[in-house]
Amino acid sequence: MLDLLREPVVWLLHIIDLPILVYFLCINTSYLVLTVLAALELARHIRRLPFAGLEEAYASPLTQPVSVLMPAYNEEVGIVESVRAMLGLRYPEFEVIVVDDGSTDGMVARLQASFRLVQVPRVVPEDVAARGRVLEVWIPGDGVTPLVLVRKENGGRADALNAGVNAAQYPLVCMVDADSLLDPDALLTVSKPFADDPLHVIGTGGVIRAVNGCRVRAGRVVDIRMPKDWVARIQVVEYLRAFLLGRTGWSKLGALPLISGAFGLFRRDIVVAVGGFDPDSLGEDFELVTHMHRHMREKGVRDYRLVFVAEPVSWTEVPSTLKVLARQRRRWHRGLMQVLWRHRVMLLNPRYGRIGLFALPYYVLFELLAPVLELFGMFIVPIGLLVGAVNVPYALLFLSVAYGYAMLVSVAALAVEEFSFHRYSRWRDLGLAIAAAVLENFGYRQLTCLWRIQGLWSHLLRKKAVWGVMPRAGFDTGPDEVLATRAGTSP
Amino acid sequence: VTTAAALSLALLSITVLVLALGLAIVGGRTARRLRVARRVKKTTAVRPILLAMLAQEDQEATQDALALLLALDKRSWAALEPTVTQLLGKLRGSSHDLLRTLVELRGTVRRARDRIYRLGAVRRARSAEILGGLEDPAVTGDLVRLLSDRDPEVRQVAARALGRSGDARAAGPLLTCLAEKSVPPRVVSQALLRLGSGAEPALVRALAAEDEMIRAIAVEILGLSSAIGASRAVQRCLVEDTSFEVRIRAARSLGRVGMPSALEALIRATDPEQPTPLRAVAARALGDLGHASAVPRLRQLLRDPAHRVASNAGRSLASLGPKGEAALVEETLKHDQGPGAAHARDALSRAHVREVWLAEHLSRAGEEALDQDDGAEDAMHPAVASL
Repeated sequence: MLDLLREPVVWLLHIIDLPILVYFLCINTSYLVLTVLAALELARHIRRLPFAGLEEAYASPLTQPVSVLMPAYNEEVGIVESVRAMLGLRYPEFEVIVVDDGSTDGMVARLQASFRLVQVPRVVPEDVAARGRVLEVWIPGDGVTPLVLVRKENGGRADALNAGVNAAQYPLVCMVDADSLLDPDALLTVSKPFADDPLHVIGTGGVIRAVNGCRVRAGRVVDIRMPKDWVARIQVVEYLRAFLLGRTGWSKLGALPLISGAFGLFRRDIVVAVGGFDPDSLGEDFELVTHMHRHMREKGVRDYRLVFVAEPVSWTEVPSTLKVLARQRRRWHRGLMQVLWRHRVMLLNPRYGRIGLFALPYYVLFELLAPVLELFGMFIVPIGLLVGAVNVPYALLFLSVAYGYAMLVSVAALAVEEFSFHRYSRWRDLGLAIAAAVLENFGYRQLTCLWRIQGLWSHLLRKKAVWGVMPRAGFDTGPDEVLATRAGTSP
Repeated sequence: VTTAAALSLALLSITVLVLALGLAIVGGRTARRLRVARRVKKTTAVRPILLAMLAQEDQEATQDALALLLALDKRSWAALEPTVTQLLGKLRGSSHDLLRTLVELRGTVRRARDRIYRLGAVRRARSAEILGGLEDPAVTGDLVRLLSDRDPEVRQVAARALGRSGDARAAGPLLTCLAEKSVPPRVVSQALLRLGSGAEPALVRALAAEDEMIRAIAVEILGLSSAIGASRAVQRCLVEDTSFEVRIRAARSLGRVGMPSALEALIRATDPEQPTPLRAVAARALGDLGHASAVPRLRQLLRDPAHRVASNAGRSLASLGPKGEAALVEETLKHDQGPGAAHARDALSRAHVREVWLAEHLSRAGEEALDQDDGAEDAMHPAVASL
């Protein structure tokens, strides 16, 4: 039997050997190029930070007001902390709209008690279609705190965001996750491109980092540390590479294909013009940004801009168990497939400029198909070993180069972080980050491949899409803050 | 064999690069920490002198501190200079004057003026920032020259610095920047706003500019600076301007300026044949204007099919005092199920939530005050009894 298999396996390995190596080199070289572009951009950004004019923007009546949208479903654990942090942002005029997407836990009661909410007969327009009916609107009893709680029937995150867009009264809408904590100047910084280039900028995005392990006081991340578990530690490096450097690089190329749903700022009129968020999409943030690109290009507008801003940080809790991580990655990959399929007309179509010619094809080749090829390699190599069709030293060399290059990209990302923001100040954290960059290649990477393929598969089988719930551990607030929360301190 | 050799070479290169990056990370961090420690040490030693000068407890101590700062060695001054230039842009009054004297005598201003002609955009921008912090009309010429710098961010810093200078002569060059689109409109607007009433004549002239953006910004700044003298000109913009954007901003400005003569023009701007965004802004401006004659028109607008128009009309009525509130209540009673009633309820609730909260707080504060008085009386009882 094994002898029978040997010949076809040898033939197959001979055929795919070089293409797979080239593919690995290309994918990692592309990451490296994006990292280098990001490094250049960050160096420029940091040198100019002292005269960015943020103080002036904070004091200016001309700064465009922002509606911060927080869709929330069963976020009882961290919601009060998150809302407090949002309300404490430094920005001249803004409102925080929490959209309760039919929560069944004590989230609403916590908000009502903490902010002394009262129900009001608010008229919410239907500028974009929302499936879940708006049930109630609540505002703080002091009539001054810029918080609105919109309660609606369950319809999913995208639907909740649509309800938030409808309830928003300001020209810019900022979407954040309910478990996110923003840096105090995050809104000022992420809105700067709108002030610098108001005629062309239609959306901006900020950096997402993992809050796991960090110390939080009064809704602010005051002590940045690496998480306590390896699953989250590896994600710190992953987020750094993909979110901070990858997107900064794409933004520099003028073809930013994705602004994360955990922290993105958009012109409300453009969001309304594209019909809001797609409630059927599992990657509603990617879908919105791609749709905005498509809308602008089809309207004949070529000089619009979507910008990634490397400085303002949204701290979010990343999955700390493999089970939750698996669900997240399946959903992300399924969302990616949905969006690329829905907007397939843009692929390699010159009408859609850089986004159609470069960014989306890149996503097909190096994001969508990467796990398929990697998993294929993971199957064929052991079979080859079993039938004696693989030269073991050669295979080890091959794997060492492939994973070594991936490791190099991660360490380069850590170096850029160290020379730019150097957020992780402890030597121990630095060591852990480097260790995570190495360990990522042994098990974690293969598992994520598997989950991503499962996501792809469930899309092809048209299985029912489920958003899923991420269990929250809440923030490490320290003893003082716990006391303050128990005492029912209101902001 | 060739592929294997290439792979071995690649692996070697990767290993070397990973190690080099690792060393760079560790070396970079160590160097940065040493640098910061050195700077902190230097600054900590001289910062108390700076604080003593700014505290201005008495003239002699202030002059002594100034003299000490002037006599600092180059390295100590280099450590302190960023703090001083930062404070220069934040402090006002005599503290600002003292800092200005210090940076002038230490040669910081001279160096900044020299550097605006140097290579390196960051240096030029930093220099413009320092010159702007002086808030001195004497540097207007230098900053105006920087408005045509080749680097966009230097131009932005120069525009902001000109705003801080408060020199009305800067209004013209700033408006020219708008025409040339060399500085973002928001930066120019803020600078023009900071120039104050001195910029009003230039802004009124700009209302006749050909460029739509210039007219829009001029009309907005006139509103934000409550330029009563320009009210007629702004009204003309609302009625006659060909640009939709300029008319919207003119409506908003008229509300902010608050001249009753604008009432008629604003009411006309809410007519159904006008564009919806303009009607919505005009409806809100009628509330800002604060004239009760707008009540009947606003009540009609409550039933407008456009959400923003109706919502703004409701909020304006709520801000127009008893007459406006009476109109809202009447709408809810007479047309209970109508769209106008929904907006009226919305507006009333927005206004009343605050009122109820204030009433509750006042009553609670009153009760607490009474309790304290009672306590005081109780405490006095023995004393009174002893009398």
